Amino acid sequence: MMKLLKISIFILALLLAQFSAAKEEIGVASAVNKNTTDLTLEEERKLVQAGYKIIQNHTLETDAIGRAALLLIDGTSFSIGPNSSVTLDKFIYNPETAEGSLEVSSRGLLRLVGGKVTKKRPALIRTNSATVGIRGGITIVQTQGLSTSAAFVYGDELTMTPNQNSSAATSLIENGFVVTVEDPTDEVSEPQQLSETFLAELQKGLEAR
Amino acid sequence: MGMQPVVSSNVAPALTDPELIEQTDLEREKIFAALIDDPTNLDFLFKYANLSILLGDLEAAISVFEQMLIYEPDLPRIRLELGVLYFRLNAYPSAKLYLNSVKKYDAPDEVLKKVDAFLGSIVEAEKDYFHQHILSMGLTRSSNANSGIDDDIIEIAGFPLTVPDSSKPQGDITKNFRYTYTLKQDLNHPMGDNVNYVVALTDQRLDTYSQFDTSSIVTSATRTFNLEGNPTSIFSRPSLDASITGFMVLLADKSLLSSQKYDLTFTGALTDSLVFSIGGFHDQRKFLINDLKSGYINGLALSNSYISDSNILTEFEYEYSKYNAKASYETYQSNSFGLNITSALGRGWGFKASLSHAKKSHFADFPIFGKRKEEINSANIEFSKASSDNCLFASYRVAKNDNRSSIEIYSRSNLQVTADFSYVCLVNDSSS
Repeated sequence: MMKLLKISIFILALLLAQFSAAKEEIGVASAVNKNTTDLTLEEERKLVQAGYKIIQNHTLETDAIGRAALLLIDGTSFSIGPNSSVTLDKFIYNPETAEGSLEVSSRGLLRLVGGKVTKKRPALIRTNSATVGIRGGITIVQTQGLSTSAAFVYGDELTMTPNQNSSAATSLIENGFVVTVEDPTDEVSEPQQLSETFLAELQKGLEAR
Repeated sequence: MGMQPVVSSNVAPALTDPELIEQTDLEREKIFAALIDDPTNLDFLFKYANLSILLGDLEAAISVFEQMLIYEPDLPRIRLELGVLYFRLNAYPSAKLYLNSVKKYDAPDEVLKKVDAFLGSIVEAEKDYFHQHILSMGLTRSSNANSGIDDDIIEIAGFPLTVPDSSKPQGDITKNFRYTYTLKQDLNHPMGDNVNYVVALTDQRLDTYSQFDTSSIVTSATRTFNLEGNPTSIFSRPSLDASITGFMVLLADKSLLSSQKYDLTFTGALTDSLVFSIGGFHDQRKFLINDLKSGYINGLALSNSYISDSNILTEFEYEYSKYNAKASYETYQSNSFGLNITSALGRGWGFKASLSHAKKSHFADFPIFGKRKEEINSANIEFSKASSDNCLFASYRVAKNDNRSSIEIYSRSNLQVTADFSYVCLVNDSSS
């Protein structure tokens, strides 16, 4: 009986620890222009305004006219375009060493400007067709249906790996290129030069109209 | 306890005083904490951006200014600021986008002039070919300009011979001229690959011992292949350099030696500050006045370089080579080690110290002289000073070379003091 009680207490402690970790504030909504919501772990939907605290594992979503910016406590920032979402799956940050890791899932249009944790370890952005890794830099990732494009705006290295074809992973070291995966089993496209026109199209979704 | 560098810098901080950098970093941390509580406070936003720029963390400033455009896109001064920040990061597509967007607004003339100046600089920076000419001249005082023998009596085949005064070391002054042309071709490759072409001409004229005047022509082409990183590999930023080099040496205006060398070198970073490289080479050499010395060298070279937090670069080099000459007694193997320490001293001064040691063992006896073994030691200390516009460099060098050979006529030492002046700003670009 005592043994069962001890195991129960241990499991309860683990659950509580996980719950408190999951509730940890990891940043703030630094700018919100119209409709952005937070889908909590309890499947609740809350309207997000500037200053709203960001919790790990929550999903932030914008509607057709919504745009938002998030600032994490390591200085990493995200800009989210209309009809887009981002889930902060994993964020570990040690302010003493400035080390940690960052993994998010996204849909629609997302710009990431790296903070301290991405300087050493790439931030991972997962979409429905690929995973984009960006180390020490800035990227704009856009999904349209099953297609994912990643623009390497600035940084040390960008990698793109199709979700169901990891052997086709491609790296870029020189910024100013775009790579695309059309579906999760596909190859990564040949890198294309990032044109001002293409960038302007992406940029439209990240500024007020 | 040493001060921590600002870990988030993208470019060198505008501040140079380490204490001021630390204070500014602390101040920024406080503003950042306030920003997390009140993220739309314009005062905090501008303070955070400005402090980040001072610390060289341009990404942080970019994120603040781009956040402002989410509320209000018609902010030409913020767009100009973003254009300049992306320009400083060499992120030219974004820089052009923001700078050109400033022109859509009724911006003051001085702002538009600034925009055009940056757009012009981007056009220059995006060109595929970069040319540079470097002109150098200087003087060297050598203690042994005639390659004299530093002994009164030497032994040859067991017989002692008195060295005449004329064969003993004599000092002289050398006038040095050097011209180097470099063409760098940007291949617009997603891995940042490029090709470097170099042509270098040198001419050294002695005041008295003109029979030792030397000239050389060196041409080389190096293609850099940046390789994809592998998560299981211990190396990050791996790259492969393939190069071909040809040179010719003239002694007293007569052809002495020509060479064709092929190198393949792998380089990878073990940490952010430690870089390792390993390479092999094949060098085909032709001695034009003594064909028996002609042959080829196969070799292996290793090097390690480490840059400390205080920006002192330490390099260790090792090379093994085997020279296969037509005459068996000219065939040898060599092991050499080198250590270089380079550091900036501030106010445009630089310092470099080098030590090297090489051992050469010949495989067969020389006629009359017997087996030849050599040890070559050298030490070099150099101070350099850049002019305020970084166009003119002066370097002052002291070098001591000591060659000990089992065959005494090959033993000699030399102390050289050199002052060189180089002009490096003959740069021009041509469009792609």
